[in-house]
Amino acid sequence: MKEINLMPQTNFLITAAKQGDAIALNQLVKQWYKRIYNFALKYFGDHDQAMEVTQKTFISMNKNLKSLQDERRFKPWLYRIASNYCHEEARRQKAKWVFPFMKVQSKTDQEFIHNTKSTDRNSDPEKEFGSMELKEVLKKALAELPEEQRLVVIMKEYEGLKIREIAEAMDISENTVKSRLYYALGSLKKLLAQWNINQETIHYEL
Amino acid sequence: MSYKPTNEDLMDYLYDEISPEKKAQIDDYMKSHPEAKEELQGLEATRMVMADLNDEEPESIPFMMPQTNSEWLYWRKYVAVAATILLVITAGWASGFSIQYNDDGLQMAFGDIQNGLTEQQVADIVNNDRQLMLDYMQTSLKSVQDSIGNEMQVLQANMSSEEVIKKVFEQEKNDLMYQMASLNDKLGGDYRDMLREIVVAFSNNWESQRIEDLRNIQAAFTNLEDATINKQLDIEDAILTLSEKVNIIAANNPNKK
Repeated sequence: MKEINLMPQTNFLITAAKQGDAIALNQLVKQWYKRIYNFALKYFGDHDQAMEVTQKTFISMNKNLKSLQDERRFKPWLYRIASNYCHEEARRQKAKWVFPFMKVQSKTDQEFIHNTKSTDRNSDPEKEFGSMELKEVLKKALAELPEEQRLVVIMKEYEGLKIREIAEAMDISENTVKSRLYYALGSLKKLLAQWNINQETIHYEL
Repeated sequence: MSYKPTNEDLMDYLYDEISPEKKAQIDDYMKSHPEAKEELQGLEATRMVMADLNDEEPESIPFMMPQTNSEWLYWRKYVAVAATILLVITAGWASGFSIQYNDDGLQMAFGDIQNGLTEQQVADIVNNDRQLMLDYMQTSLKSVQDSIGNEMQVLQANMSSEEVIKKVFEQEKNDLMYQMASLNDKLGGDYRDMLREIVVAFSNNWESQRIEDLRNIQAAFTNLEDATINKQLDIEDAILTLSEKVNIIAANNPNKK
């Protein structure tokens, strides 16, 4: 949300970077690097893949910044590049040969979630451990969503894009964005209820 | 009230991206439909839970080089090539490098070009050398021919009289004959002496052999004679003994007569 406040500055940086200002360009990267990384990280739930996509996104940004006509549309434009790379990377990973022992077994994941629920959080290290587990569970919940719903949710909930911007980034109608959001939130709600996670349980001791 | 907000409207409402009129309309709807409100609150709660998934810090932020001066990048290689050519030319000029192409061919040198011998000069040298060699060979050949001619003339002068040759030949022949005859005589004399010695030795040997044989025969005869005499004596003794015995018997027996 705070990026909205940075928008005028961002516009200025984009204009400068387009004219070949290295400092402005690097400032732009610095400003958006963390956002794109976290966007990809939530999409994959995997650091390496997120780094890969982030790097590709900024290389592409550097190369294609000139083709961006309207500086105000930078944000959806950048997320569009990132989500395209996410999609490509996911497809590449799917095509890769994955040995059964390398695969994350859903059975062990189930156990993991089960243990999460029953963890007794009395001491500090355990609390920390517990919060780490919660993070994993939420990541897992995101991973359960279909790709297009996941993208919409991440852009909306974590990246703070407007529905209009998401529609632009994904090249779909605003109604489609809303509809996907609706179903995604519904699915997440169901999943969290299934795993017995709600505001009371997670903020139990915090 | 027949108004029922769509799912899309609910999303607008939830994320507060809605016009005030529509918001009021949905607020009204929620008041009269607690189940719809509950559903919306459920989604809101889900959002709150999901919001617990915080950002993570990426490792390091890379440094990007802008590509805006691509025009310079494009020209850079040509400028580099031009600079290199200029550098080469300057270095060549500084070191006095010169290059020229004429009838003698392509010439390169540091400093002034120093021409070597021309083709004509080389050809002249070769020709002179060849001429010298030819002259020398001709003179030496001539001298050899002259000396051979002289020798031949001397030889012809010697060989001109056939009688001299015949005389020399006859003399040579006689010498050879004499040598052969003397050799024959020498050989004949030796041979006769050897033969005579052999014959003498043989006859001597023969003679002694014969004497030896005669002696042996004589001895044998002597032995025979002795044996005969002894036999004779034995027989005479025996006859004597017999006659005595007969006399004794005759004396003893006279009636029986």
